[in-house]
Amino acid sequence: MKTIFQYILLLGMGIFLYACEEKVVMLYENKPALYFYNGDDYTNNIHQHDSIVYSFYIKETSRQRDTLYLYVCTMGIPSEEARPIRLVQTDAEGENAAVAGTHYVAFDDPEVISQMVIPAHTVKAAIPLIVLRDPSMKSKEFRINLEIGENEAFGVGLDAQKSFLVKVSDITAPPANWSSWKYYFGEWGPVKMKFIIDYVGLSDFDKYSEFSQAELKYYRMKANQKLEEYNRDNQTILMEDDQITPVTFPK
Amino acid sequence: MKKRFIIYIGLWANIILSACVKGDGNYDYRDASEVTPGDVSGIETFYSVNSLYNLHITPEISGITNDEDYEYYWVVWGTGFNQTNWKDTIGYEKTLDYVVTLTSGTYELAFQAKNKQTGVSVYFITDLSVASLYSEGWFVTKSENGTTDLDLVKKDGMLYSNILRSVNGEGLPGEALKSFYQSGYYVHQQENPDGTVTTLNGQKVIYVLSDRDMRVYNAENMHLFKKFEDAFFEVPAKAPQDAFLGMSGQFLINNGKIHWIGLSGSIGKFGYPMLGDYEAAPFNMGSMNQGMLIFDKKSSSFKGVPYGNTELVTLTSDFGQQDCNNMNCDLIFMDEQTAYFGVTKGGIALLKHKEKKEYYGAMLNMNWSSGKNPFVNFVTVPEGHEVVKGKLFATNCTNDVLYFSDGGNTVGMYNVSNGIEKKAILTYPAGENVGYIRHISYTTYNAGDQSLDCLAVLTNSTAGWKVYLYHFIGKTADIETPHYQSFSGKGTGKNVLFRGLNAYGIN
Repeated sequence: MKTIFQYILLLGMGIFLYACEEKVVMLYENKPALYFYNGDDYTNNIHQHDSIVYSFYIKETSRQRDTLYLYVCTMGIPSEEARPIRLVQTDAEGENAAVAGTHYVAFDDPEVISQMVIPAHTVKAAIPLIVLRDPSMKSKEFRINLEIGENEAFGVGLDAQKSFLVKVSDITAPPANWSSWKYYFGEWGPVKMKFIIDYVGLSDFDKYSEFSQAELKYYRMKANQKLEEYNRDNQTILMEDDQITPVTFPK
Repeated sequence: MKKRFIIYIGLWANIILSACVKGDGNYDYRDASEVTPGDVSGIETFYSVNSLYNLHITPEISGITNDEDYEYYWVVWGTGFNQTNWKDTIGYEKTLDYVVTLTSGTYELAFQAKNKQTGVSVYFITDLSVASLYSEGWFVTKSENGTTDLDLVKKDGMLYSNILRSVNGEGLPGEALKSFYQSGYYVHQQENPDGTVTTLNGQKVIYVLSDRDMRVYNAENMHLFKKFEDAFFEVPAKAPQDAFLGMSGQFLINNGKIHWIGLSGSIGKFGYPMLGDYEAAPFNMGSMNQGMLIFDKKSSSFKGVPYGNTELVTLTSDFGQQDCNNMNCDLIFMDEQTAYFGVTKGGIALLKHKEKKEYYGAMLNMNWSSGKNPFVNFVTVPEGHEVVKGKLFATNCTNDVLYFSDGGNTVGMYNVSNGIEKKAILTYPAGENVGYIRHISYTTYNAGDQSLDCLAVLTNSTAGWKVYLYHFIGKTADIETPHYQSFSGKGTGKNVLFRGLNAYGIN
């Protein structure tokens, strides 16, 4: 019995002594690395997955360029200083590849280069991708396959999130949530869509849920009034591309 | 088989016979008066308090020996307009100690004591009336030095001047036009310091219009809800002319266009102007539950404006009826005759032919709401009648009568149906000119007998504005003189609005 007691005492002391040992936290010791954010950050309203599809068609006719933001994250501890990053287009020679300077502003362009950084003390940044409206986009969709490029500050981070695809065009397509808009604007058509963007002033169709019912009614009435004015001023009836279907809105 | 049958019979016999045994039980029936809790006392049958008053009620319940054996509830619910399906528990102690934060109106207050062990409860329900400074009284819309403000005169004659400036630091720019009250269907969204938005439903509001601005105020405390710039999804040029605040929506005539706020999905902002090529005259015949009848100056036609429509409704006439379309007339005046609780029985319009020197009086009904011509009758005003010189008009709510004034110091009346005119039924001292006339037919709703049926005449002089109140002679439109009450203030008055407890929309 005495022997058992001694064993228990020894075991207990061992546990106590082990508990007093300083715990050394493992630190990330490799070179800092970079990867594309993939997920939904509802707090900051960031929703980015593997790719972005962008069409100038749903923007005002006068808009010749637009800025998309690509979110990148770092691995490793934050730095006291801003660190440059490098993105590389991997399919520059491909058949449908977007051309820097024609379809988008190159990342080493003076307009952009200063923003190609991870600011000091941060682990995430929004990198601008300026897409340019080009007539060639009217008939073709261009791709920008991007990859994290190594530089003196960063290596390539998560393998599954080292690439990102941007598709850019000036081709029409109904927004994915048109079934929601349909109650207010009726059946979708490319000419109608363009009219809503240019004359009603509504272009961000992704934000349907952010509009109150009263505001949606306001847009519906405005669409009706603007269409009436358009038809009257131009002495015409606005038609879809098939020249058979008149553009109308529910009243 | 036979044995089993005997067993069954035996069992059934047992059951049946046992049912006949007298149950002695151990019940102890007590007299109803001995069961607790008993009667409640110490609560009045009616409480009338002001907002933020500390309501202290100490009920007594007969038969209770230990207060701790009971749960207590004080529950309140509204009995006014737009207050159904709402209730709130304001106390859990036997003694109610409650700072009244309810909005003005009438309520029922229920006290419940429930025995924790037996679940037996006793109730007492009493009436509660809550008033705020602004919940009752006469609101005079007036201007002074190019600024519009409200003066409030309470029942006891106490005058509160320039309440918009007092509460908000400023009135509205421009000369006063009119004020309107809405009894709890307004939705307001306010941004909080942390950037989140709080939606306030069922708000009571007062719209104040000047010739250069419009603002919406919380009718409970007169705090500013919205400026003109905040009150639209797309802000038009400022030119407010008239409004109608109804049960299912609110209309504003601005620069000849009609904007409206519906109930469904509203955030208290006016939408795009109603569709069509029209220019609304600055008058309307409103109906609480149906919308507005307006006059389109462009087509010289009466048009229907039902709630929820995006377009004006063209009205159709029956054979032989005076057509209400393409009349080649200008509208001089139109207003509703409000029967009770703001419900409109019809209205009166006065028109002038664009080319001939002819004036027409028209009695209007509510047929327009089903797309029909609204004329009950349409008569030419006899030559020489002074009503055609009128600049100010008011309908009598029960008779086919218009009161009018040319802006001088007299008021006359004209019966549209029989053409009889009475000139100068009221005359004021020289230099005191009539600025507004209104038949105020106010019937209370669940708020005791506070009915009001009088003709209010507002005059202006160098001394300021003055309001005279007159009784009618019986059910006629004739006025009993002299006035039975008057009150006055500074500035140039343009409109008088009476708000009583539980008032409905006042237009």
